[in-house]
Amino acid sequence: MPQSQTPETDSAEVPSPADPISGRGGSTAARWILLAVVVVPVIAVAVATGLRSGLSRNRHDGTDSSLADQAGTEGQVTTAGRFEVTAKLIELPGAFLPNDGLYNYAFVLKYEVLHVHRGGDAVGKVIHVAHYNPRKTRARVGDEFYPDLGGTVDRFRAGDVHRLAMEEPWDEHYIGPLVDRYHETSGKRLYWAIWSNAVGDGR
Amino acid sequence: MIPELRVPLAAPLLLTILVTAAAADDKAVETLRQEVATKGWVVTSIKQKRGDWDLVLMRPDGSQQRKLTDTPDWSEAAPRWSPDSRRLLFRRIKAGTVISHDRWGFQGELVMADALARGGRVIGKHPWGCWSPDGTQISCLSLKGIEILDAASGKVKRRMKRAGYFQQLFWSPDGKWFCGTANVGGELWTIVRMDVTTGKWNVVSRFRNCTPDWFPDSKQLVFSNRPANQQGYGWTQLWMAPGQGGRRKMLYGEDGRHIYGGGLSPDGRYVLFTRCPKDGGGSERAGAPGGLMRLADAPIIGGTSTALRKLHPRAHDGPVLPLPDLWEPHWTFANVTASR
Repeated sequence: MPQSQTPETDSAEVPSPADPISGRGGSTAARWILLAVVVVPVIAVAVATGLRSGLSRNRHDGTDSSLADQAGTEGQVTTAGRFEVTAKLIELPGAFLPNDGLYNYAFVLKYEVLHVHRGGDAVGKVIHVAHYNPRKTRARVGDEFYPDLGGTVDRFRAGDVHRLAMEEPWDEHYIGPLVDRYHETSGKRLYWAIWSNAVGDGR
Repeated sequence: MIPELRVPLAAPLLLTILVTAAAADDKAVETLRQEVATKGWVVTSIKQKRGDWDLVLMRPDGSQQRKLTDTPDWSEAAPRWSPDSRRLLFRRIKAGTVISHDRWGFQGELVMADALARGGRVIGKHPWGCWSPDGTQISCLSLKGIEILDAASGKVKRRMKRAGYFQQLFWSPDGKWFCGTANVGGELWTIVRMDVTTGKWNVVSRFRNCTPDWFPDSKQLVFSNRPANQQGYGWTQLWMAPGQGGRRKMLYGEDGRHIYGGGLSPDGRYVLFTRCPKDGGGSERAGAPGGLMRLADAPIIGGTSTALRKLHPRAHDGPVLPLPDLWEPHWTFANVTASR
């Protein structure tokens, strides 16, 4: 046989409606739809979560609330009482009275609230808190009359940050001598400290 | 006189003076003892050698002592006869508990018994339980406020706000007032009088006061106070003041002793107290030496008490009748030992 010199036309396939090539086009669309239905929402959730975290971090005090939520959580601070805050002790309004193994009293301190864990909007930015026998470490402050008190605070110093579990009104939870150097501050809510943990030196 | 002879003559003279003065003091005390010895009875808590506290009955001069309770498992504390002296209220506290000098009213339970502590029954915790003037009610002080209970049933008949009171609530003999220790104006340890009907109150004495009680006339109060004008920690003294507040008067003071637990005789002429070397009434330890004096002899200053004598130059040295170590005595003129 003699070699042809003229190439022959490839019998390439020409799509036809009934051709499988038409089915492959539908799969692509399905993939795009799947992408839209599944992936996009996942991305949206992730973005939303990230935004919320960013907003939380951007609280008025500039602290990272995720860290605030975890700091100073020893003992019963997250369960005792109805109110729980992380707050900075603003000042010491005078010396603590001695106990001398004889006398017991509560002493009012003023705090700047950094974060409210429990209690919501009911807790103001500045609070007054009555601490029982402040000369004693919180670990040893519980006694026959107030056995449920405790915490990790060893001593009270201005500027220190505490995580406090509290109740109010104070006189429905404590009956005894009260040293209140802020007694002339009208309209203040006085809390009774149940559990007081050290969070850090806020200075 | 030759100078060398002055010294030998001065010494015996001084000694004579001292001995004579001491004898005079002893005589004055003996006179006081005889004066009060048969004026009714005193009931008090005395610590036993085994460690608990029991109620002891005695004459006001400390004689004729007899135990009214003998309970190794319990301490009986702070007894008070009813106004008709037929019944007794006291607190029963688990033996081994250190009785708090100022918070004892919250400890243990309230017991009602007959005048000699027989047939006692626990009527409840009832902090600071105190007789009403007619003996049909009992006032109590707690976190909930002031509660007035029916003495027979124990049911709460009335509740009042405690208005700063935190301990030592006592009802006046005429029924019109409460007295107690309160937080007022940022200051603790303030003696406050409250109108039982209206709840209105007034300050009787500010700053470091404790253990108030009523005069029989319900017009005045006796209480302990540690004044600020002292060196160092200072010493607690016995004072009195009118119920509406005003001029206070020292009854007894002694450097080296803290004076607590002032209690008047039923006629208001004498006052009992404790003289403790350490602050407190002695309940944390074994009580404190008791003392009895006439109000008419006030103020009396015991011991050297140099600075105190300068403050009260007209104070007397005595007489003060010493009593056994005790705590929270209560005095009646009734013959509680007789069958009634």
